[in-house]
Amino acid sequence: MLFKSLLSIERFLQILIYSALTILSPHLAYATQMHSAAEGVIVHQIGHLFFLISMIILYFTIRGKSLDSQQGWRLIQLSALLFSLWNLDALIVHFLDNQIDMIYLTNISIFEAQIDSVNNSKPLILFYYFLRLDHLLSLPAMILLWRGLSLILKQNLANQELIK
Amino acid sequence: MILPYLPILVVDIAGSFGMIVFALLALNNAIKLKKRDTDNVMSLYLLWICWGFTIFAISRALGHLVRQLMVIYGHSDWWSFISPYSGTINTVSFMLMGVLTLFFNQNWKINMKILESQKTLETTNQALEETHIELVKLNQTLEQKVAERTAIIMKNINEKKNMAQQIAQADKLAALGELAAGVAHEINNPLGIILGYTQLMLKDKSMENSDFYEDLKVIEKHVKNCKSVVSDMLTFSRKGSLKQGIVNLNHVVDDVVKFLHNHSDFRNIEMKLDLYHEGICDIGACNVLGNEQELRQVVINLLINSCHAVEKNGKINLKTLLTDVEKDSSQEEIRCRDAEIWVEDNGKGIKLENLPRIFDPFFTTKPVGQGTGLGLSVSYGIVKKHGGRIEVKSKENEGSLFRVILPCASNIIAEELMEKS
Repeated sequence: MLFKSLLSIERFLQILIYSALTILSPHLAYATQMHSAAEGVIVHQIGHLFFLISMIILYFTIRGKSLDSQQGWRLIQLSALLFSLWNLDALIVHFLDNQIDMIYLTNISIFEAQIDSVNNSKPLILFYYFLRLDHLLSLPAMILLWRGLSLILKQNLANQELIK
Repeated sequence: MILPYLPILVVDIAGSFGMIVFALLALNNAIKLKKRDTDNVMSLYLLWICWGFTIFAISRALGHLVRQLMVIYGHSDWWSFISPYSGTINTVSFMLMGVLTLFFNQNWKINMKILESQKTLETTNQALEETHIELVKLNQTLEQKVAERTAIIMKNINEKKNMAQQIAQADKLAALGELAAGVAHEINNPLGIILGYTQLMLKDKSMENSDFYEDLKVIEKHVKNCKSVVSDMLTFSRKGSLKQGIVNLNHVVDDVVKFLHNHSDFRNIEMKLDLYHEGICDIGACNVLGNEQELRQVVINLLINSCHAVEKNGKINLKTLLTDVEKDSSQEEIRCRDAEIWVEDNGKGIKLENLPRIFDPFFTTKPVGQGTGLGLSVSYGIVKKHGGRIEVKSKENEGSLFRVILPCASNIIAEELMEKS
C-alpha cells in the first residue's frame, strides 16, 4: 500500500518535471526517430544478456524446487549452466569485435586468419580466438538438454507402467 | 597476428549441424512427453522451451553456416547483406527463450495446483466410490429386510385369515350344535318309546313265529342306529355335563388300541404305537385336564376314520408327544405346553376341496349307511371343549395325519396358580 502510494507520488513528480522541461526547452519535433547502426548490436547484446539471466534463473529454480535430485532435470540444469556460459562468451565476443571494435578478424584463407587488436595485446587476441570456438559450449548444452528430456520421458513411461 | 582459421571453421560448421540435430531430437522428446502426459503443464512448458531452442538453434546455425559458406566461396559482401537479418532473428530467438524460461516458476506453481486439485479430486472420487459401495450394501440389506418383514407380514395375514376361518367354523358348529341338541332332544323320546315297544313286542313268545318278527328286528336295528346318531349329536352339543379330571393321554391311547385290536375291521391293519416316554408320563407330564371317556371317543373316531381310509392291509401309526418341555434341576420333565395325539394313516387321504368341510356335521364321503358324518364334528366339539384343537395334514392317495393338540394339565394348573397368586 505504502509502496503503491510512493510509486504514485514518484510518477506524479516525473510527469511534473518532464512537463516543465518540455515547456521550458522547445526543440524541432521529428515524426520518426532515427536509429543508428550501433543500436542493432546493443539490442543483440541485450538479447544475450536476457538469455543469460533467464538461464541462470532456470538453473537456480531447478535447484530451488529440488528437481536436481532427478537425473533428467539435473542434466537440464547443467544445460542451462552451459547456455549461460555460452551467452557470456557471445557477449564478450560481440563486445570486443562489434561494440568497441577492439579486435579485427580478417580471413586470409580457410586455413588462416589475421586477428589484430587495437592495443596489440597478444593475450587478448588468444582469449578472443578461444572465445570464437563458442560451439564447444552451446553444442554440449544442447546435447544435455536432449539427454535430460530423454531421461524424463523414460521416467514418465516407467511411472505410467507402474500405475497400470 | 596470424592464427589457424580451420579450427574455428570446423567447430562452427560441425557445431551448427549438431545444434540443429540435437535441438530437433530434444523437440521430438518433448512432443512425445506431451503426448504421454497431456494434462501436465510442465510437459507443455518443456515443449515450449524446446520449440524456443529449436528456433534459436536453426536460426543461429543456418546463419553461421551461410556465413562460413559465403566466406569460403569469397562472397563476404553477400554476408554483409544477410547478416543484419540473421542477427535480428537470432536476437528475437534469444528473447523468446528468455521469456519462456522466466515462465518456469509460474508454470511450476500452476502444475502443483493442478496436481493438488487432481489429488483432492481422486480422494473425493474414492470417498464417493466408498459411499456408493456402502449405499449398495445398505440397499441390499434394505431389500433383505423388506423381504423378511414382508414374509412376517404375510405369515401374520395368513394366521389371521386362518383364525378368522376357525372362528367362523366354530360359530357355525356352535349353531349347528345347538340345533342338533334341540332336534336330538325332541327325537330321543319318541325313539325311546318306539324302541321300548319294539323290544316288548320282540319279547312276546307268540311273535317269534310271526311274519312280523323279522320286521320288528329291522325296526329295532334301525331305531338303535337312530339312537346312536342322536346320542352322538347330544354328545357333540353337550356342555360340560360329564365329570372333568386329570387324564393321561398314554393310557387313553393304549386303552383304545387294546379295545379296537380285536375288532374285525382292524384285524388286517398294522397298528404301530409310539408313546412318549411312558415312564415319565406316568409321573404326570402327559396329563391333560378333561373327561377320559370323551377323549377316548375322540381317539376311537379318528381311528375308525383311518381304518375306513386305509381299507384293508393298511398302516396306522399312533403317537403321543409333548411340546416345549421344561425340566427341573434333576433333569426330570415337570411341565410342558401341549400334549399331542397323532393319528397317521397311509390311506386314500382327503381331497383338497373336502378339507374345509371335514368337521361339518353330517359331512361324509363314505357310502350311504356306513357313516353318519358326525364322528369328526363330535371329536372337534370335544377337543374344543378341552381347550385344544385338531390339525389335519392330508394328501390324496398318500394318507392323512390328524393331530389332537391339548394343553398340558401341568401348564393349566401352573397358570391357574399364577392367576390366583
